[in-house]
Amino acid sequence: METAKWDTSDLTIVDLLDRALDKGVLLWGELVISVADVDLVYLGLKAMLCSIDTAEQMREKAWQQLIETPSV
Amino acid sequence: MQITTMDAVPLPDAEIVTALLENRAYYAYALARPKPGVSAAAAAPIVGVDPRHTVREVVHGEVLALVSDVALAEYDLELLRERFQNTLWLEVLARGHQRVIAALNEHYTLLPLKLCTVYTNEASLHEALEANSAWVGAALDRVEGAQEWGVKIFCDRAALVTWAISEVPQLRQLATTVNAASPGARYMLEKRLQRAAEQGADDLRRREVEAIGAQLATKVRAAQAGTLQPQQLHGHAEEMVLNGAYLVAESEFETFRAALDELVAEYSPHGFNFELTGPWPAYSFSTPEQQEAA
Repeated sequence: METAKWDTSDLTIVDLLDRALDKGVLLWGELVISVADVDLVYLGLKAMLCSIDTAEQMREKAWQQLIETPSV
Repeated sequence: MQITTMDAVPLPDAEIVTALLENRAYYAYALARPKPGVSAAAAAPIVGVDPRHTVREVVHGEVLALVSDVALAEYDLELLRERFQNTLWLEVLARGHQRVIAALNEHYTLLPLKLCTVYTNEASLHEALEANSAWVGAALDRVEGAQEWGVKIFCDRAALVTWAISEVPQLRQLATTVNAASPGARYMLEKRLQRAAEQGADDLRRREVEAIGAQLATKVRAAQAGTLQPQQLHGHAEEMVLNGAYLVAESEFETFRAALDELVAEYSPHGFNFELTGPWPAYSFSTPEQQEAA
């Protein structure tokens, strides 16, 4: 069995985003720029894998849900 | 008549103006407190996602936010929108973020924040900490002295089907019938076995993955089943059948590891391949919802 030690170069970008984007705590406050609590995981990777058209549509859709600026 | 004088016009917040003029924002990595008996102050400074700045503590009562300065202009929403479509940029940021989190994990008990949590001024960060103060302390208690480990299982379909035929009584019986059948009857029976074995393999896999998860769950503080990744993303030839996260007390890790080794020995002959990643800070066990669930 492979045991990944804490060597970040061994971690796949998918695993990283799975945690850092999908799982981390969403901390709101005034004047925060933050990735909203939606399915951003794999966004970039999906974009890379999909055909241009599909990727474009998905980016648009995902982005609409992604970033929200709280009203100040 | 209403007269509006100049001094009635509210001035913009001095801090915001300063941040804009100085092109300064705070990238927040985690909520934290020092690990018991560990002095973070004695450690070498940790370089932030922006290599020009090191990580520092923002103290709010009992809780710390770990932040480093970044250029505000780099986190403009329109710019970010473009950059999140750029796989290379996203990877560089994610790896930078992870490098910092991993270094912090040595000295602090952490509740990691989402990638790209950026405050334009310290006051708004304090405000966010104040708003979340009710659950953060208990969440830190829960993850203190523990690390998250990821267990993924990939399943070889052919090996699983073979196993199902030998394991499930009905399938075993059907296979015996196939072997004993006359050449004329054999073809149709083989087709029937094939269909039944596919279904049987799915049922068996579900049952066994559940059993593995339950087995691991007895060795940990908390367990969470993550989303299964599609094949294009994980890149393995086999199908992903488990993407679990386990919060394991540091003192219990050997026990957890031994249980995992046993499972590997038991299941790898049947085409189950295990992958262990970690230790991660408790990414999957840090949200207030999970706190309530606990």
